Amino acid sequence: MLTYNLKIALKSLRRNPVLTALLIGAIALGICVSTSFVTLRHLYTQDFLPGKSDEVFYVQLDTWGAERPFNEDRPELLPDLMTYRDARNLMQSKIPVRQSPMYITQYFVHPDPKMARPFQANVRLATSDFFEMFRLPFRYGGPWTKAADAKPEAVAVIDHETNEKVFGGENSVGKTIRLEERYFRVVGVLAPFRPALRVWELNRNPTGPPEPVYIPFNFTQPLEVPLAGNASSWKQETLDTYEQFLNSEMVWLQYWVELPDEASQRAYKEWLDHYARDQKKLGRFPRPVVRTSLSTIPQIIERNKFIPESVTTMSIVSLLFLVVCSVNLIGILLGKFLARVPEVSVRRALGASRAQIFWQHVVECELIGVAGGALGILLSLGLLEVLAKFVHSGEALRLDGEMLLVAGFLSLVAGLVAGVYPAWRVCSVPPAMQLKVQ
Amino acid sequence: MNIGPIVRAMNQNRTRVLLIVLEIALTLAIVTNCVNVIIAERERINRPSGFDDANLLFVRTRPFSPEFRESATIDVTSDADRRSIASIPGVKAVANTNFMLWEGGGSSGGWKPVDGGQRQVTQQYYATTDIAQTLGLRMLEGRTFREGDHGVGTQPDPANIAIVSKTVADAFFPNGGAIGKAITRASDSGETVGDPVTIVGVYETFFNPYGYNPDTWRGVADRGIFMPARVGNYRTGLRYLIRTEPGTMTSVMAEVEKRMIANHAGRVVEFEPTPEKKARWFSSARLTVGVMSGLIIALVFVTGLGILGITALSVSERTKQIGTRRALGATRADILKHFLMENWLVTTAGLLLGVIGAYALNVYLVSHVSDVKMQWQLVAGGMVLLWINGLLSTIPPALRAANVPPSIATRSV
Amino acid sequence: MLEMKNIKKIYRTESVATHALEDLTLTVTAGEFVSVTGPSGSGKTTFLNVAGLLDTFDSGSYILDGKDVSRLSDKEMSQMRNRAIGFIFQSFNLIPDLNVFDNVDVPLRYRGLGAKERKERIERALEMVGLSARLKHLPSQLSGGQQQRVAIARVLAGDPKLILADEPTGNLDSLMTREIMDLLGRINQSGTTIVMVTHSPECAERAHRQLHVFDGRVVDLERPRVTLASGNTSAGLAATLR
Repeated sequence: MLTYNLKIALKSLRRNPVLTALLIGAIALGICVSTSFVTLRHLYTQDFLPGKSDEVFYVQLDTWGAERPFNEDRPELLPDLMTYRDARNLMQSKIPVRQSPMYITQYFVHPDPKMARPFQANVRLATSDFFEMFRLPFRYGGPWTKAADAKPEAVAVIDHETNEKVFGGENSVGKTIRLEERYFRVVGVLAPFRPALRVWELNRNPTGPPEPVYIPFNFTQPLEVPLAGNASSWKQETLDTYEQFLNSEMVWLQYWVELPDEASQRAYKEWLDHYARDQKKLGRFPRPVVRTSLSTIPQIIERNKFIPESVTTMSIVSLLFLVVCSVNLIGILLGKFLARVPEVSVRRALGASRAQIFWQHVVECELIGVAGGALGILLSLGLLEVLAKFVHSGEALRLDGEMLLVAGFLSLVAGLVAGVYPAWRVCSVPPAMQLKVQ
Repeated sequence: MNIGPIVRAMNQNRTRVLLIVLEIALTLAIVTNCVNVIIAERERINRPSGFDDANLLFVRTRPFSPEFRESATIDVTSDADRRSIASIPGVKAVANTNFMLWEGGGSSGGWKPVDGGQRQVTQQYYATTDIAQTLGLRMLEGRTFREGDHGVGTQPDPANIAIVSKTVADAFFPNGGAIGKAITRASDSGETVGDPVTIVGVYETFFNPYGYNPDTWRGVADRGIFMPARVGNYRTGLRYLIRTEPGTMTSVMAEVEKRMIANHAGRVVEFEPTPEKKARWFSSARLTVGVMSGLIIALVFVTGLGILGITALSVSERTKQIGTRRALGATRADILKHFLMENWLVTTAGLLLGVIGAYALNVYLVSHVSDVKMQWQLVAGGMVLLWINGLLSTIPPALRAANVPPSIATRSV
Repeated sequence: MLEMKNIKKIYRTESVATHALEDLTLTVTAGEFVSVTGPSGSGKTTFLNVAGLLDTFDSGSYILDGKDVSRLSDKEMSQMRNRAIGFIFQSFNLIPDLNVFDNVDVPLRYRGLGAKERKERIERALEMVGLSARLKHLPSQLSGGQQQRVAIARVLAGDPKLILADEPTGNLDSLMTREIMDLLGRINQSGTTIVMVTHSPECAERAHRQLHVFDGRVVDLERPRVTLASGNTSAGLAATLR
């Protein structure tokens, strides 16, 4: 029966090719626009660490001054960064399976002068846990060891592009790279990698590319690594030396922990609260209420309103656009089907049941929906290319399997929504009337 | 003309009429809200910064020679660079500054009048003598910086003076007379920090997006203080703003690099034309404008096609009826008018419903996403647009109807 | 009233040219009641279309109500149809979306009459056909005979000089047929010229003059009443032609 319905539907669609093209075009436009913007929005709402996005936590301590909260407009927010002292203390906890304080500096990379001129690069200082916690993909080698963290050893992980620039793309594990005046041994080279959001860097330019170079966090003190980022404080302190900076109430570090189960999460939160109360006893944490917080990546994205207003507006508008296309379709299909009443009456007279007439017409609408959906998906590939240029998300803005499913679902729904009413109307006209009229 | 019978006849085709009404209503609601967003975004993009953005070139030099660890090298190089850049044909003015416009960030701090008053936060930057000429600031009162305000030779100590934007002057001295008054840095709790700084000049406009939500962040975006100093160190390097004659930016860039490397080769020179930075800063706004414009066109087009399609079907369905009307004495013009009138009525009903939809969607968007209120002029404009659209898309099928020959009336089905 | 001379009408498709009317010559004087019979495809409908200005002709001359039709513009033809001619169709051709009142109103609207006069005319016409009680009914709520009476009321409201009827009883049963024919007879008696195309000999009989169209030409059957009633050779001829 389905193949017969398909045959009739195709025939009917071919009878009026211009109208059919219009119908398909309208659905295609609607699907293209709505799919593109739902995909764009999905960039920000996708699961960045599949399977463990509720196991990786951003740690915040309210170390701010007594006078006013960190953010006067939103007093519920804790300072977005952490002091060096607290970061060092937090590293003592054995509860997290992985943890890393981190920040960025800018260093000159000096390649072999025959290869390239010196260039400045963002260098992230973190622990070896960082790479596994955020699942950075390696092409050669891997993270440095815990021993390298502790000493610290002069080791580095570089990204694919830096490896191209400095080593011509070969396996550079074991070779040395010069950062400023110092040589670091390469232990790992990242595979090409460009997520939509650098989820470990949700404070500053989260849509930027991952950093090109990584070195152990414990170099901070011995190398007096300058911070390339925001540092802020509530307290007037003398900050003439690096030592004074490290011991100040300046907040400038991010701190991440991985807590795989509820027990460890509860234990860590208790440990953190305990730590904060101890610090208050020691005269720090001057705010009236001691607060600590653990947030997952989705929570931070939500709280910091990372999804641009315009993207949300455009998603809403594009879905409404699809609705208009569907309404449009209903009108035209209704006219088309009702014009076919005499033919239907003949089919009814030849014994077609009401349900058969109904399904015959629904199949026709679904054909339009599917054809429009397929065309719309093709068109949205083009639109996404254009959008990608504006949102600087590199390769991340593409139709993945999930988005294809959404597009397919939307087109089926559009076809169905548009088709059910006209099909119902045409199958429910009583045969007697069809014989009588004209 | 025949409004009564047309309305009564439409009552027999309620679904079809309702669908067009619904489609037009939705279209009006979407189109007006899109235009609303477009206008708001364009206002944001076109907001005057107070600077000659189109002709400003940002130059960043990043030293790798250890000589730059000496502040004397910084000062000497800053003076040499500015001298050699200023003499390049096409350069209007140049300044060494830590002001990097259109990056969403910068430097800010709390200040208060020395004679007492509320602490206020403002953006604060250092720059050499020609900063006002370089940015193209319009001075309202007082003077700009003079040669030597930022220290002479290798002597880095600058004068304790500042030029401030009118917004800053008004914030500290609401009753005017800011010139000659002194302000001072103030800590979070209001304690005075550092030496007082005397205001010597007030300029008209300052706008540089700043901070986390750069357009609104605590009103800092439109406040700017400039103080005289040569700025730079080993880590950040020396940064310059160059104001060029229109159309000369590319040629200036090549020459600037040559002369800077001649002054000191131990550094890398990078250029960023301000128009590009500004475009990047507004890329998402421009995307919104582009997409919304595209959506409006597509939507009006689709709605037009919808009206055309439905009218065409209704014409072919009513061919016999049209023939009968012709036989009974309707002229071609009568038939044309009949269909135009019918669609005008439906369109108007849709638009009236759409007005409600437009405001409803706006209320939803305002409460959930943005904060741009609907303007009635927009709704009126949208209605005119859709009226014309409805008329244009009715004409082809209506003309076909007018060409139905009267002899159809005697043809048996 | 109506004077056709050597009218030719040819329908052309890409490959075939059909001669629908061939040298048709005919005169109908005012006040006459003329019936036109003929086999299917003989050109009856084409004749009616040309006579009613629903279609143009290729050559010949046609004077209607003193006007040379070939010189009229489309707009003038429309006005002519609207004022001088009234149509009665086989399938009634009422407008399904309009109620009885609005249907009768259609030609009056095109004539641009004032609301009051239209109302008077419509009510008078509907009274004459006996449907005053059904102003608000839609055509689909009426029987075939009632629908045709509405169509006749539509003609009467316009008060034309010439009525062209195309198989007015073709879709009706015999009782209804008699009713409609009586109505047409009365209208004719009040002075309106009627030209009626019909299949039915009974209906044709009611006319003053019976014409026969054959191969696009008109054959005037002399003294039709007598010949048909007595079943003589002329009737035999008609029968063989059919």
